[in-house]
Amino acid sequence: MALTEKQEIDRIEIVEQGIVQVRQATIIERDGEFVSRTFHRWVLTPDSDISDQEQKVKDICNAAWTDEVKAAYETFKATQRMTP
Amino acid sequence: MPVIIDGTNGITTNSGTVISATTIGVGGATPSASGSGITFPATQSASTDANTLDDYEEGTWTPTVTSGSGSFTTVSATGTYVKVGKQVAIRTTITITTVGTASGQINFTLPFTSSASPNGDGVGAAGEFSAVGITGITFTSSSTTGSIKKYDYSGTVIGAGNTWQTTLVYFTS
Repeated sequence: MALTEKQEIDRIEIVEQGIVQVRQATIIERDGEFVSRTFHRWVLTPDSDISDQEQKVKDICNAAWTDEVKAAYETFKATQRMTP
Repeated sequence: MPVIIDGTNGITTNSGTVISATTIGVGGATPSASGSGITFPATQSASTDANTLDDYEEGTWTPTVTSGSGSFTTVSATGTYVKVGKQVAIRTTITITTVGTASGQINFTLPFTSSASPNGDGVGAAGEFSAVGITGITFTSSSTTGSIKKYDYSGTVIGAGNTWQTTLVYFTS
């Protein structure tokens, strides 16, 4: 009986304002049969540094983050301050 | 006890109930071999029906922490989340080791973007028990960031050696 663990980015979502949500799954298998899965997430905004991301994440961010999207995100950020 | 499977009623027994000793997978999900419960698809199959639970996910995320002004020299954070349908509950621990030039509010990224409409603004609780006390978290619509601030948004909540514990419930789109 062999337990194996593998990690993979299994979900990349583009939501409002060009924000990219990334999910990494850690999958445990016993003799090749699925046992369990855990998740780790992070969020990338159009002004994020993506230099340390996996290539497929970079590709999607670069495709989504056009100059127009980046400019719109900067405008959006300026409107997001809540005041007392 | 007879079990009936058909294309109209699904699975029923002669008492109208279904008993599973382990795990049930829905939406084509492979049932987990761990424990007992319902396994949802890894990718949500969203339902527009108000009475259909269509997503469950629990996990960790890495909040990115920044300050209202200036920047931290050393700060770290961990977080856990549970998402049930559109509702997300999070807990974070933010540890400020060396302040640097940081001051004002503490900003940290969320695991899911908050809803855009209806208004996704919200609040939560944050506590730093050794020095600062209990204060609040605010975030706005379509936001990826929560902010720890004093109740009147004055001054700074940042201090060396501070450890913030936060709890927040909000909604995604």
